[in-house]
Amino acid sequence: MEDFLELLVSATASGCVYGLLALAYLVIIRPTSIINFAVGEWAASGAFVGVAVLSTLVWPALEWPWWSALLIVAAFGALVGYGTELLCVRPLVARGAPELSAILVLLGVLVIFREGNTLLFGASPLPSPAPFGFRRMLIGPFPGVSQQFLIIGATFGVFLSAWLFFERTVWGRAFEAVALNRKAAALMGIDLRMVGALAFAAGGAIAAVAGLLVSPLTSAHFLMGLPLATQGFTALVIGGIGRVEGALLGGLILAFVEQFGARWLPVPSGMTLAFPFVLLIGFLLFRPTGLLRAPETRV
Amino acid sequence: MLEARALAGGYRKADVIADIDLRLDAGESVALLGPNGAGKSTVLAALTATLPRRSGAILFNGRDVSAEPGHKLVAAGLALVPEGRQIFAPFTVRDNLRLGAIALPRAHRVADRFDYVFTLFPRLAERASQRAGTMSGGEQQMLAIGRALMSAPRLLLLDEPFLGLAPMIVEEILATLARLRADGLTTLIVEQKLEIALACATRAYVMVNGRVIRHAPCAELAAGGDLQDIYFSAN
Repeated sequence: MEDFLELLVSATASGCVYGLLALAYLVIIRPTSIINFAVGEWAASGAFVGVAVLSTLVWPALEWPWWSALLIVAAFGALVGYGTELLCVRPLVARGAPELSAILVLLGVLVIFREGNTLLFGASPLPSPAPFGFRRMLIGPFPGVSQQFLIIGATFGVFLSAWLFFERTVWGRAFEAVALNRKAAALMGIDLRMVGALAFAAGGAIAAVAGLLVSPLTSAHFLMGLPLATQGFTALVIGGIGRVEGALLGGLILAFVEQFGARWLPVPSGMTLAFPFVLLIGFLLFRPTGLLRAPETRV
Repeated sequence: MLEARALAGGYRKADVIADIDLRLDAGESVALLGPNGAGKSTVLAALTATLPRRSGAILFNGRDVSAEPGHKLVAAGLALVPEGRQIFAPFTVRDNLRLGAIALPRAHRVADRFDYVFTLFPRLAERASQRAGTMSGGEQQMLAIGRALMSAPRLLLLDEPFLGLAPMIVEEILATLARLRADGLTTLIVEQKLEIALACATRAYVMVNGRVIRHAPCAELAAGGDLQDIYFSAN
């Protein structure tokens, strides 16, 4: 039982990280229809920036409190997303290029960020400090590491804010309106270019924060981006791009299948790496809309 | 109120409309008549800055707005009720209307706009919490007009608002338009049928093949015989 509960906490924490990455994809896809695979590398950059602020490993004498690092990393991610939209996506949209062009350009952005991370921070993993250390603790019956509980709490906060924004604010509804019908949204007086830029900024901020949150458990290293990008994307496909809560659901399902599958299924341990891809292919083949559908868009 | 000079443009390389001159004075109601594919909707797209490529000059309230982006035109008082309604089907009626007021100038209050639209269309008030996509075609058209009115426009453009509606609903919406005119709103309505233009406009521009071929009071057009003849005589 103890074993099960510990695995439950660990799987939930991983699922939350996948969910955050899926949310980073989702806030960009909804209004722009652009899949941005660079979010994984942005998460890695977020982790590195966090390490730089929090420790003396990269930059001397910058030992600031963890909460300030969280703000700096979020602002950094927002800036990266905003700048990417401005420099790499907007010129394409303005020329009427199809979404695929932007997706390919963003793959280029992915490579730039990966190599940039390696050049700036080196190829060896950097330990990332955790705000509450690495104490084992018990919350109710659930045993886990403090960072895992922090990840779960922070993810809950991020998703709650995202849900409130999209469902309860006029600007959130405006984002959704752009997703439903760009032309009609423009006729309302919504500035489509601004919505696109803000979507990328939000996606960048969420991805960078996810990277910072997970880095104490995995350490910050130049190869951390790709798995986050694929797991986040798989979570997105499982949950569907229609709803914010789908991203979290997809992340949790993916993490549970990975970790409980590895623990109890009679599969050699190396094979468990294939779980996300099996799920990804399965969902794309049999339920491409994901588990949670978008609200009906037909008029 | 609105003046367009030598308006031209299109979606890709070829021009859909060319050499369009339009003029609307404050308080006027004007129709833009023409057969299918004449370029009427393209003129509206050019006026609302949603056409990918256009040239010519547009003056709105005496100001040159040729280079203004579409969202600024809405704030300046230009609203379009698009063809096929284009309401946000999964949203509630209230959310649709609220989005219509997203560019509302500071001088107005959103609550006042809700009051105005709900008085104009009591049925929208009854269905405020209903999903827009579940309403009848006539109600959706009322919502599309109400949504455009939420931005407190001074000029309302309507693109074939009566298409596919039952005669009773057409009458109802015509009555509402008459009331809007009485409130001082300037309207430009795109239509195919002369009878409807007669009922809601004083002057009409007739378009064929992307150009304005006639410009006359509606009554004069009606006296001059069948509009179909005019449409075909131009070819």
